Amino acid sequence: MTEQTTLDNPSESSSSSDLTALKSQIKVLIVDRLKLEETPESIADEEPLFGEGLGLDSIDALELVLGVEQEFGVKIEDEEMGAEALASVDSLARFVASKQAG
Amino acid sequence: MPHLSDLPHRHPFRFVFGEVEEDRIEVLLTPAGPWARGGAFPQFFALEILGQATALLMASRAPAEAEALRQPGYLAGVTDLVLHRQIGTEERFQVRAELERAFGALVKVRASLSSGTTLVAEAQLLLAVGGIG
Repeated sequence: MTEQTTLDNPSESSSSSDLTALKSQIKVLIVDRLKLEETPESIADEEPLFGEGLGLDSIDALELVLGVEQEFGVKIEDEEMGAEALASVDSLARFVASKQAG
Repeated sequence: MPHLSDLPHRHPFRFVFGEVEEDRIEVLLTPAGPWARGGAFPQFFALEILGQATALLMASRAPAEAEALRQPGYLAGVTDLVLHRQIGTEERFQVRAELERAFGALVKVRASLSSGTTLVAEAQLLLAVGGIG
């Protein structure tokens, strides 16, 4: 019996590494755009960006929305969409990836 | 269309005296008021001028359903402020503003202050409408 690994599914491996790279890009965007003292690496993928966690506020949200548009060409239309997309680095990465995939 | 009376500011802290015309609003500085004593106008008030004028310009452009943009608000942030030359009293200026993005109760605008064809000051302003969280 052979074990199926991600190497047997190159598209999954590629997709997973793409998402990982995207998360890293997003963390850099957050730190640079918002001029945070944290390093990008210190932001956990699942850490809440607003309120508890990173503690961002609504002004930071607008800056992030602009940053996402400029960096990834993806528009966050309104607060409702933003609440879901900007919940964490992980949710933002999945949102950007899905929008870019069309 | 917003009216000048929509601005809560009053003399001597009201700098906008014109009405919105197309994409600009007139600002007139006069020697009246404490600022002009000695003939010097506090230069950082260029920021307040931009803030007041931009608020009226944005309210004039808001579609009917964006009632939030017509609510009282305040200047929440500023970046890239550049004063190209000193502002004197008894000058007439024009303020133009371009909306970069609105999100929730926040509006980001690029505003410029000109005297005729001369650019006097410019900045990127963040306006907060109502409360922010």
